[in-house]
Amino acid sequence: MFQRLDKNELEQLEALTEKKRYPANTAVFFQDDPSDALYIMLSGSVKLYQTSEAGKDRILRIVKRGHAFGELAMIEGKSRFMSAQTLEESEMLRLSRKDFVAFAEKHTWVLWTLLSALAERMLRMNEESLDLSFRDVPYRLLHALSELVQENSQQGPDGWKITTPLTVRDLASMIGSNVDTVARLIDRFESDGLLKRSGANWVVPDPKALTRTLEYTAQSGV
Amino acid sequence: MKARLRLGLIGLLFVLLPDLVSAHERFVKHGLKQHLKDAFFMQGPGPFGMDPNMIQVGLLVCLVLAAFFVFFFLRESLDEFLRYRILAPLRGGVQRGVHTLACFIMDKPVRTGWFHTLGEWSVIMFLRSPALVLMYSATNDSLVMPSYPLEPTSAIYFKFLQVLLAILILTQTLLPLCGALIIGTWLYLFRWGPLVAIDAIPVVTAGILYIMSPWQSHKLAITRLNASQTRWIRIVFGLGFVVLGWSKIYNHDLTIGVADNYPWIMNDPMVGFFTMGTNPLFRRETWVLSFGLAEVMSGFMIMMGVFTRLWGTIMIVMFTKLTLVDFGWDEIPHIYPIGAALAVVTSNYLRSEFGIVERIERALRGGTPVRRWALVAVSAAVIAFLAVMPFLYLLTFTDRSYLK
Repeated sequence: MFQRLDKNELEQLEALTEKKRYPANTAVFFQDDPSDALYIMLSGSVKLYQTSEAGKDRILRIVKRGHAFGELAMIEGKSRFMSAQTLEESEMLRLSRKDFVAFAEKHTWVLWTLLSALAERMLRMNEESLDLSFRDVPYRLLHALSELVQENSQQGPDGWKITTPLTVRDLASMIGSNVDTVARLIDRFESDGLLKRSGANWVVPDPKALTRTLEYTAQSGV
Repeated sequence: MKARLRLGLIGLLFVLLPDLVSAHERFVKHGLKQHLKDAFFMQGPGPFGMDPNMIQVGLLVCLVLAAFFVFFFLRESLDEFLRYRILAPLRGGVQRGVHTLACFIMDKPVRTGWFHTLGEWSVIMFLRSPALVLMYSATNDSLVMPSYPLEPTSAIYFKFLQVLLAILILTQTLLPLCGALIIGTWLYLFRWGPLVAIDAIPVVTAGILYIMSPWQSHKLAITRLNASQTRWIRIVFGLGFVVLGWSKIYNHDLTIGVADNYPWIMNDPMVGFFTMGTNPLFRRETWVLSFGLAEVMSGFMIMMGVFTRLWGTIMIVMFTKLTLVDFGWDEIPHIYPIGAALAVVTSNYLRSEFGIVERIERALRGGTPVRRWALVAVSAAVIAFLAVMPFLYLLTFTDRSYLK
């Protein structure tokens, strides 16, 4: 959102923000809280999730360095429609609503960038709802793992390590399934050599094999 | 069910009721051991013709009410304090637990599995508890409450009618008809005086839930209240206690009669706080006044949706204590107000009737704090004063001679 800022503008913006550091497993904000600020990630990772009335969580996105979150509810000025919780120790900049509005009045293109981010997110949500309607759990899990490899991984001696520590429960709530089903599928993927554990992280030894399995699962309509 | 049939059934109900319910209510007065000083409750030599002790208790209640309103109108700021000062240093399960507790107190949605399950159970209990009360009263020759004994000559009709209604409720059959029967019976109680009907207002909450249910209720698992049901049940439930509170002050001999028979109920801490500093010569009079106003206050909070969960929980504890500790089995019909309070407390659709004050407060947040504080303080003081003092003043003009 702030990529087009020059050095001077970046300094102006930085002066408006407040640097925050959160330990792992800590809420930045909760669903239904008043939305009074947006956050720009500097390091670590944060899961954004919605909780149903029955207390079931669904992870919407995982954000990392360079991403902003909390901006949509803030612009709307209503309560937060999701919670944000750190997955590891994270550092971020907090920009209050009042300061953001003042900044956006001077740099109107920020609003256009925001609009484009909103459009991209809507597109993604449509794809996700299509997946939820027409794809089964194995496809959705493979798809989520494939995206995590593309966006949140680094190469190591055993393969591509997903840098965000995710539990089976997290994976289940990312794809809208239950823990038992996801645990069974992960066992299957591990025995097929598609996935393995490395401490609190997941490692994909061969991302191409994962992509081929995903394509095969999509074609066979399983 | 067709609208005409629905209308016909309700019409038939009103035609039959006067014949069937041929005045069975004879409110049993509790044995009074010592009369109160009636002059205390009437116009006299004090300011505005009111006893100074009465004014003192009334103003103290206003002060407490106003304090709650101030906290409520500033709850978004309190929420901010909670988020950045209390929750920020916490993490994991403890952080989520404290947040859940805060959401509960602030009437915000509580999103946990156990609360959802408790809410479902509460609605199931509230939906069915009036049936248990009807069965209980049928076997005790009374109409809904043990204090409304049935006339022996027509008791048989009423007992069958109550059992039939209980079966309909237990099987969730034709719930709107059950609601119409309950509300119709309640309206009919006015024939035996408003005090009788006032005493039965809490039962109307169940009638509202039934009347707002679909005709095909027997096919549905009704486990949650929607926003509209929550609102109406909350308003009627709260209004019931406001009116009951005023009627306790109006009919003060009856109220003190209860205390004469169960003296330990006079040791209530909230009531003790309101009577603090009053003349000991009027101990019994100020107790009646404080007891009634405490009920008015809690009812008003629930009716207006101000800390509904907090006051609802106090009501649940109070009714449970009355049933299990203070009065025993005679109070068992209070299972339905407990059910109503539980259903409201566990609803995630709570909102206040003072949305306008909150909206103005939000709009003023960008400006100077003085204007915002002034708005909150003046609104809280005016609402609290209007909720208590004018009616208390008017009560000093009422004629109570026909109660004797």
